[in-house]
Amino acid sequence: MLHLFVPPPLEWNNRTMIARPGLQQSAHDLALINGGVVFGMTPDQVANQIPNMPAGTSWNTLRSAREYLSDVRYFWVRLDDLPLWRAIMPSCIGSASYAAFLFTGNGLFRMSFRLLPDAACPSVTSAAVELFSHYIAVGPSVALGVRYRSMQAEVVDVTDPTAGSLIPVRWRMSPS
Amino acid sequence: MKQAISLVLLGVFFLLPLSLRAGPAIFNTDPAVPPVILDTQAPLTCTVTYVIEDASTGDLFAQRIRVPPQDTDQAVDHRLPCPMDVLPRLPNFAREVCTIRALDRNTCVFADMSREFATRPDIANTAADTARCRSDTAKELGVACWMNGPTAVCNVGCGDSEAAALDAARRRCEEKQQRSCPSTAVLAVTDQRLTSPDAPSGQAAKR
Repeated sequence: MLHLFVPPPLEWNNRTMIARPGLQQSAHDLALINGGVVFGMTPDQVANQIPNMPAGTSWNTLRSAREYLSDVRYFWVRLDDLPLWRAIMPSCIGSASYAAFLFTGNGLFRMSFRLLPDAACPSVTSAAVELFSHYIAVGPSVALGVRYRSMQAEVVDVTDPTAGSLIPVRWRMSPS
Repeated sequence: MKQAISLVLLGVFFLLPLSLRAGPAIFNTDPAVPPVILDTQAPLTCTVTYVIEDASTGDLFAQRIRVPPQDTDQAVDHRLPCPMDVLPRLPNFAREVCTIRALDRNTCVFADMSREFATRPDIANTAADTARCRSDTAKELGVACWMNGPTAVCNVGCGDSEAAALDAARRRCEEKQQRSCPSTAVLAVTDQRLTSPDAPSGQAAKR
């Protein structure tokens, strides 16, 4: 199956001889397609944007994300409990699929959507492609979307482009 | 008298449906479309669209690069020319759509491949100049591929209609790869909109 993604255009500058984003996009563009969630939000600000999240989410209540060398923490929510994101993916996902919201001391820097197959949905590739297409519409200067596989999981990470050395870190599914 | 006319006009205003009474229009909230007014009569600015593949996932990216006209450029058939001196500089910028996302930038290649690519998926077995279409010579870009595991082995074709671009891509792929290329996609070279009936339309790739 062929997947052709169309990111926002670049614009060539005849004076500087450099191609730059052809659209002026900002965190507002990300907020519009992301339920108001933007990078830099604190854990409780993100939790407030998510329906039915219990109160009291804070940096101190978060788990440590061990794939990072620095102090990165997260909370996760099953995708079936995230109607906005579930609506982006008409295709099926396994019921254990979830979104992890990852934070440094500076706030949210990554949303990691981990799509897991199960007996009712043996392939989650279509859903991953639908989700990735959604975030490709926002240029990489605002949110950097990445799609990859980890064992049987399909992962779509959406990362703050200013996150520096945290950007190339990938989640690895533990063998069950 | 003036007061009476004002009152009548005010009355007419309140009788109008809400949509006709609206003040400033709500800007399109689609992030792909900026809130600006486009001159739909203006000739098409040069757009060069490259197809880049992340060979590790098989994902293809169609990266459009708009090249603004120089003062002396003249439109031909409502299309501005793509400057020949700029074209060689564009491939590396187009490839960035993949390299900024890939763990290994070497997996990012141009989606016009030689037959050797299937056994040696290296950028040396791909060509930047033929992995693109230019808006001054084509309206549509077609891509035709066969799947070698997760990797798509592809070639690109350009044409003035979807059918012509797909046909060119399929012919090129079958000739280069010496096999059938059943996976195809097509999209408009430029996202600029024209009012003419044969204007390219739509941003999404059609499979």
